[in-house]
Amino acid sequence: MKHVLTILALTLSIQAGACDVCGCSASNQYLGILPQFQWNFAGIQYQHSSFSSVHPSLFEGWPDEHAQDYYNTIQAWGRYNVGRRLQVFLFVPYQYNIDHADTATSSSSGLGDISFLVNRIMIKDKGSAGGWGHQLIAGGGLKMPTGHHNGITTPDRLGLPNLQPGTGSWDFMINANYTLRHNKQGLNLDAAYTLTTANKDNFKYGNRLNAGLLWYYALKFKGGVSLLPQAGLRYQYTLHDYDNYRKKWLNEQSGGYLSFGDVGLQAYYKRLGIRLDCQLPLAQHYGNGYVNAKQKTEAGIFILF
Amino acid sequence: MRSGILVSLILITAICSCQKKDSTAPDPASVSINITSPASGQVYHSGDTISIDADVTYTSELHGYEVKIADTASGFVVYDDAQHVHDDHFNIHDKWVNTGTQATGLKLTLTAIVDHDGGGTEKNIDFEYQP
Repeated sequence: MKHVLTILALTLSIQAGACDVCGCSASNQYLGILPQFQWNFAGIQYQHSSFSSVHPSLFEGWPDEHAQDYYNTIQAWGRYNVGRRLQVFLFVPYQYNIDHADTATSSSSGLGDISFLVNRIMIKDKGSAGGWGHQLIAGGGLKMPTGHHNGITTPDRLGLPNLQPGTGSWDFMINANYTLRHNKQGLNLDAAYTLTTANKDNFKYGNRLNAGLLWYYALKFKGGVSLLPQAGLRYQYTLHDYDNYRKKWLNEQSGGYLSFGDVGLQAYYKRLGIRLDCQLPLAQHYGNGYVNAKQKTEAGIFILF
Repeated sequence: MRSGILVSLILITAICSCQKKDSTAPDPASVSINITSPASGQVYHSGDTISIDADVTYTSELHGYEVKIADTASGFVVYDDAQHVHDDHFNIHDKWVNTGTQATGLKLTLTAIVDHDGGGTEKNIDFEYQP
């Protein structure tokens, strides 16, 4: 079909916050596999992730505190081609996060941090029909502190800075994405790095690397329907947060790595697309071992135009 | 040009992965705790609101504090509050109402924590309760 899927997978990582042993992401988004370059699109996606954590007590006689955190993002997003070589992405998230701790349950919701990316198509080689093709895009962007953010001190007394929809900081993102295709299948390798800055409270969330390797297979059916199963691995590495960046107070109980197995499916009908994705943790050491990531799920719908 | 961009991205990433840290060794002895209320020897009666006011300062990052009031005769803890705070100074403003029926001596202990291992320093104030 005209909808021969030239695959572009792009993974973004937008950082979030950390208290003593958290560092769980309050907004950690992936674009996933998208249809061909020349189309613009607009869509809505839902993301869910959860973590369990143990806060070791600093005080004699006080028990460790356990918590289950649930992060939910509903996000409007889209891509717009500017000329033949540039692509602009825009993300407008809404967060709804819940913390079930031993002693209390808290939640926070609101507009998150809006971000955008500008990517340049560096290589665009479709190859011959049925043969090899590959493409590379790379670029950068900015995450703006538009989300509601209370500051660190007040929520930190409750141990809940991660629940906030916003981070209060301007962050820079760089990313590169390479796809190798042969016949109906292909491999995609992507990496995105978020460079954070300190917010007005001098709190600085850790820089974050997010990388993935995905295999996919394109199935086309009569009537303009196509399916795209995919599977692969994802890896995320986050540096320590700074409780106070100006004074270099490094929080060594934050940050770490997470790796996930990733399976997903996309379905297209003419200009309408849907996607489902599930990630299960394979190995991890996060928050000095006090934080355990659980499964992530994503679902979305988008329209090409 | 393409390789130059990619090399630049890798260099930026590598440079930004370095993390400096405050190398000040934890020194609980240099924590300054100033308890302004209750005053030493102050006498409270049934229904009085006991204000707990204190200022804590340190040369580096504090991680939290615990305020505890104990009956000096029995050792029984009648008030206990602990908070995580990440700053080099903070103020404490708590309140407690004692409704006990027996006269006793009380001891307030404020402990400031300077590291994640629970290391800290404390200061005590003795006062009285007479219903």
